Amino acid sequence: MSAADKSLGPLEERLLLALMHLGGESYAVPAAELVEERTGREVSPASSYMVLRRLERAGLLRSRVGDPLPEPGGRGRRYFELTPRAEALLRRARRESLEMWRGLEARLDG
Amino acid sequence: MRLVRLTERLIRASLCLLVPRRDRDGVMASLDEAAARRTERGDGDEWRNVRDAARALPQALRARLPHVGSRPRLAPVFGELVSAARRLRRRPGPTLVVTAILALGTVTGTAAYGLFDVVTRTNSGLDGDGLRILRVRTSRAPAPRERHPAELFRSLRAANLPAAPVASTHGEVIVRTDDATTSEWGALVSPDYFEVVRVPLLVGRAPTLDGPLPEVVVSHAFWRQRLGGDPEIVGTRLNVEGDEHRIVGVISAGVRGLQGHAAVWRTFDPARVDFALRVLFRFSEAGQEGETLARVSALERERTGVEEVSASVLTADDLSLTAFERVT
Repeated sequence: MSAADKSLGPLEERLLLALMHLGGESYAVPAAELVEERTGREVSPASSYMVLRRLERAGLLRSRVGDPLPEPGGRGRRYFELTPRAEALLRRARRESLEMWRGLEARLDG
Repeated sequence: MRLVRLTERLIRASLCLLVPRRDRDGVMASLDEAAARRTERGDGDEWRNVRDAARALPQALRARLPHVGSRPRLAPVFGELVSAARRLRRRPGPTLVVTAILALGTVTGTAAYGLFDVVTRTNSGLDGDGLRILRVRTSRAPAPRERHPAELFRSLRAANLPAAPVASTHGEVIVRTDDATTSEWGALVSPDYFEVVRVPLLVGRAPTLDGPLPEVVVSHAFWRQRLGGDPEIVGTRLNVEGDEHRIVGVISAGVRGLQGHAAVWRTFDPARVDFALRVLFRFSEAGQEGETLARVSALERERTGVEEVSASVLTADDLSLTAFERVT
């Protein structure tokens, strides 16, 4: 399946949105914490890392490894950045979601 | 406290085994950093680190087995595993008891079968020295196949490989004798099969395509039970699949062959068949196997247009049928 045809899973979509909230680029731990903070659901940073790597392989993210951390044996964090394809996919997901919600707000908001 | 750390270490060790090497450092670093940030914030939930590691296991499994969830035949199995994991999380006690009972039953069954198998295992009755069965794996069909299109066999025969290929197939045939018409297992083999596989004969010779009538060799059991053990059987006729055949030989007692018992053995014309075949080689010199397999891979790549092709072999012992298989 090409990235353009890909439909996003809930965690994938939330992590992509978290990256947007974090300025378009971040590493896995803050993204996972932001999802957790906003949804109230526990999100594993290790799961998030693997999901972000999978999205990178699907062409929705780019990544770079930052400078090594200032500690013995410290490794660099991997920073993920959204690609234009990811933004297009998020726009489409939002449009489809809003379309399905249209007309139900009054019924479900109460 | 010690229990929490021990559990976390166990789960992390499992995670290390499951996570592909390319992601391992990043996964572990994420867990470490998240734990450190929680400690800085004064979050005292010790089990959170365990949960973080445990929640990564399904993702690790997915990364390790990318085809599992997407292959239609395996998708239900994957779904069952996820459902089982959820059930274990919600009702750990009863689920663990049921799992333990099932595991105990499986272990007991496996042990009993293993014992039965060791006691009753038989071999093909053939000289297995250097005899190898071809397997081919391609990216289009990732499970290794032991049965190949006749077209592949024809291309191997034409390729002048270090060892000449032979082939066989196996199926039900109708055999009519004077007193009965029955359905029997029959083998169809390529012209050099008897010579290369060294099928031992009690009397007579291997079947050929040259005679005035189609030729057939019968198994020892068939000769004794259906043909009365007639010592003058060679040269007589036998109706197989509605056609008169000339019996040219009887296979020695105790020879089962490589595909299970066959009562009648006939030869096929490689230029005219279109059914799937098991392909065999007999390698007599060091290096023949490697060179042959490399050339088989190249030929199959050329024939199918699939880039990823790998050829390997099984030994005759790998194919030995167990008593369980014979009974069922």
